Amino acid sequence: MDVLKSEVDANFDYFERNLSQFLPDHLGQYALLHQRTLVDFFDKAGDAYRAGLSRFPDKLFSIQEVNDEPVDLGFFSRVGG
Amino acid sequence: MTNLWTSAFSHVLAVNGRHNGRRIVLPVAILGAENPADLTHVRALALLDTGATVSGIGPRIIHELGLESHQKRRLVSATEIRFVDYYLFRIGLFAEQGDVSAQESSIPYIFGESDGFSWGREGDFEVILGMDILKQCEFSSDRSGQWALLFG
Repeated sequence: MDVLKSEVDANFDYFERNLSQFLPDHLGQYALLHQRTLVDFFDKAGDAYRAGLSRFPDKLFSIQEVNDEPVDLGFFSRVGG
Repeated sequence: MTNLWTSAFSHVLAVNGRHNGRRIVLPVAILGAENPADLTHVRALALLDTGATVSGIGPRIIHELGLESHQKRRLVSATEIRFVDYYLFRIGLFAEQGDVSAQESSIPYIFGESDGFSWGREGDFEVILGMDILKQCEFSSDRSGQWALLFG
């Protein structure tokens, strides 16, 4: 497993465990995460992504939308991607 | 892959087409999101999919643009729960300009970043144009098969 995927997976685990705390005040925003820690919230995915690139030159970070609604992939929901 | 610095200053407003009764497929440009000024893009065919919450891109595009996934989402369907990798990218539509058809135009109208999903295998189309883009457009389709997207 590559290093970035490990970082994304670890941060996702942290994010899911804490999502209920983030939802009331940050629904629809994007969380920037690094080493299982919340760095900051941003209104747009691009802003969170570019902040991650700026703060972590090794690109080992992740972003997650603060939302507990399931996504529907349309055509690919049916064919299994 | 093409570099189009000229498109930064162009605004186009419509793309039209005729569907075959089964699906609406149109040419699009996919760009990275790291640098908003970078207009390097990959051309691909997109399926217009009102059932997709967000847009998505296939493996060739990810490879050619050198995109990396920094996000994952839980997908819940009727039969399973699984995770999908998300990528940040931008979508451009080739709108008609005068007598130039959408397929021939080289100047894309570029939407803001999409954080969309990916899938692992090649198909008849390489982009899903989901509701994140469609909600920024006016869409119409008539019974003759003519459809139109208005945006900008």
